[in-house]
Amino acid sequence: MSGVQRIGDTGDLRSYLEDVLDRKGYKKDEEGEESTAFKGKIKTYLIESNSPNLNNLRQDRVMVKDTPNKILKSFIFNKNGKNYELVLDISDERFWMIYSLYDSEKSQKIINDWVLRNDSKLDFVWFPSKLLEKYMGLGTETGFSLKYINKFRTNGDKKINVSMRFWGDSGKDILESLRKNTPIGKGTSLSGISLNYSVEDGFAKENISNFGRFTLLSATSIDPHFLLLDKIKRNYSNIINVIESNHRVEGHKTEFGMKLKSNPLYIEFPKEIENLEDFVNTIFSARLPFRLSGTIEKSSDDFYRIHAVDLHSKGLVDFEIDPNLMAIYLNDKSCGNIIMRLVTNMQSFMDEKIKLVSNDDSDFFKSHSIDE
Amino acid sequence: MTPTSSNHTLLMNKIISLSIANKMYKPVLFDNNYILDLIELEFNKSDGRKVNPDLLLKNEISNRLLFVECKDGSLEPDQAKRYNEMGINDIIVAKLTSNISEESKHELAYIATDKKVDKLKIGMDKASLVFPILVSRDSIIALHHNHFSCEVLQELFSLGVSSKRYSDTLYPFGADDSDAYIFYRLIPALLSFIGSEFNPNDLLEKTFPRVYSNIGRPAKKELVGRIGHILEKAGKDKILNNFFIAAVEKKYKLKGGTRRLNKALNKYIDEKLGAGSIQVDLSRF
Repeated sequence: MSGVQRIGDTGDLRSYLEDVLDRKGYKKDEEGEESTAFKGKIKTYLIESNSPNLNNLRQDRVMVKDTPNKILKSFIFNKNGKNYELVLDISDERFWMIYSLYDSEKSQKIINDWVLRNDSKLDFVWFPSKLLEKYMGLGTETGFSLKYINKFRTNGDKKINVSMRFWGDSGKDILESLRKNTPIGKGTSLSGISLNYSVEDGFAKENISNFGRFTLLSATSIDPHFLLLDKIKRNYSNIINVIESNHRVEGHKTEFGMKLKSNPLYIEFPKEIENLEDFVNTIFSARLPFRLSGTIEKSSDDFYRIHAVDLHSKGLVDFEIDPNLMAIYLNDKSCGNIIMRLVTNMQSFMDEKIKLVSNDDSDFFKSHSIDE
Repeated sequence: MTPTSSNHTLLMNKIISLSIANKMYKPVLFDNNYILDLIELEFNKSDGRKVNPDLLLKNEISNRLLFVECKDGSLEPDQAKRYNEMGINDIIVAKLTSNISEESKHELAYIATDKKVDKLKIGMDKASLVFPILVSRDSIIALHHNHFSCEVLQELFSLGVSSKRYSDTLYPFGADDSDAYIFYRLIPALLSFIGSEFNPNDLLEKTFPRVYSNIGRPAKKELVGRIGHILEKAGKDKILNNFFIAAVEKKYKLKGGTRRLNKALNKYIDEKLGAGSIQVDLSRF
């Protein structure tokens, strides 16, 4: 990342990124020019960390250098003998931000290599379709992208894959009409949104992917980008807090015995799963994107129990699955991000209409507004 | 073949699953306001004698308590006698649970599997006791002997309630479970420790933190000792010994890819701990 040395010297991320905006001609778009290319744009990845110890990162091909600013680290990744420098912001212990100026493909390879290793204790933040749609409401709608691969067939399914990007002013209307279409409707899981986020003295045009990559397309200054990131990070953090506070299996000792609390979350499938065995074997194969392994117990043809380990956090999670429903029991210390990873990826590979619900049948994402 | 739990663990999980909120199966006791309050109770009656039923369900609407003893074997007459002599005042004085008064009603039921229920019935009749006895048979839990004083319970269990689906998350295993079953339930924790050093107590704490923090020292020591013994044997077996590598600070360390280790652990349980040879007792389901 050219110029990162200056951050190493001063630790001043804001000045550095403002400089990038000036040099790369970002501010031309103030006059209304559209910018849709991602090349050379500022990309910020929101990363969920279960590893407060930065020493865990200083291994293999990764070097983390301090800067004069305690919360900013210069993050150097070696790939094929070449060093790539990115900026790591650890001001939030749980949700880190990584700034990259490399193109999307290169940035993604570097981040994937780092985040998706089993011992990284890192994960992307995952925005299920309904949540991304809510985030569209934070600004003027300018577009959306869909990416869907039909990995799990349900009863009466036609095989379809969807890949689409829409730019324009009526994104939500277009999305609604696509959702009414059969068979495309189930493939309308949002893989990204674009929005124009306005603040008092400026704007930022952003693309937000469902795995937490924020690409700044044009802006009047870097501040709206920071503000939008912070707003979404706080909302996501609230959601994870709700999951971990209310939906873990807990037990505590009383003078006379043990009290237990169990309030699982459920993923509801809009259509019965045709081949439950295939479905279970795919989800718990220890492979990406689900990152789950464990013991699979077939209780009957239509009921499975799985005692699983989340390979991201190494936390334990139990599952019960039938053709219509998946119950998820987070162990006492397990990371709530697993829920977001599952819902987001099942929407991308199965059906956009997959819902996350509680015992009282309420739609989890409907009941967590971004203004909380 | 997946190892099966002991009948005691199975019965515990079936009753627990009927008395907590859940969308996956119909928890009829919960729906009729009998909600799980405590598990593995132990308290002294006013006369100083100890009672220790397995479960307590509480119905705050009808002001009733239901104690459950999961007994897959003969009746223990002395224990049953203590249950029989337990009055509402013992529960009030012990402050066992909140909102209990002299008007509150309580009763205790036994539950057994089909195979052992008659043994229990004979013991009950011999002791001239009239506790209701439930039987778990063909995925149905039904009243087998005597009567409930609560009309709702009497009606429910006279008809029989389905227990085909139940969760085994809340009560994972007990002391009477087999080595094969305990090792099987430790697999996710073993996978989570790949590359890190661990002791048997780390495995127990990781797998069941709520149990680990709640059981007394002797029981914990016994369980940890048993897990240590299981690991010792596993580490020496040719199926698994390549995965066990030298540890420096703790006793064990595992290497290997998740998928390979998972496969080897299951193979070891199946071939060496006898999971494959365990006969499924159909009366359990």
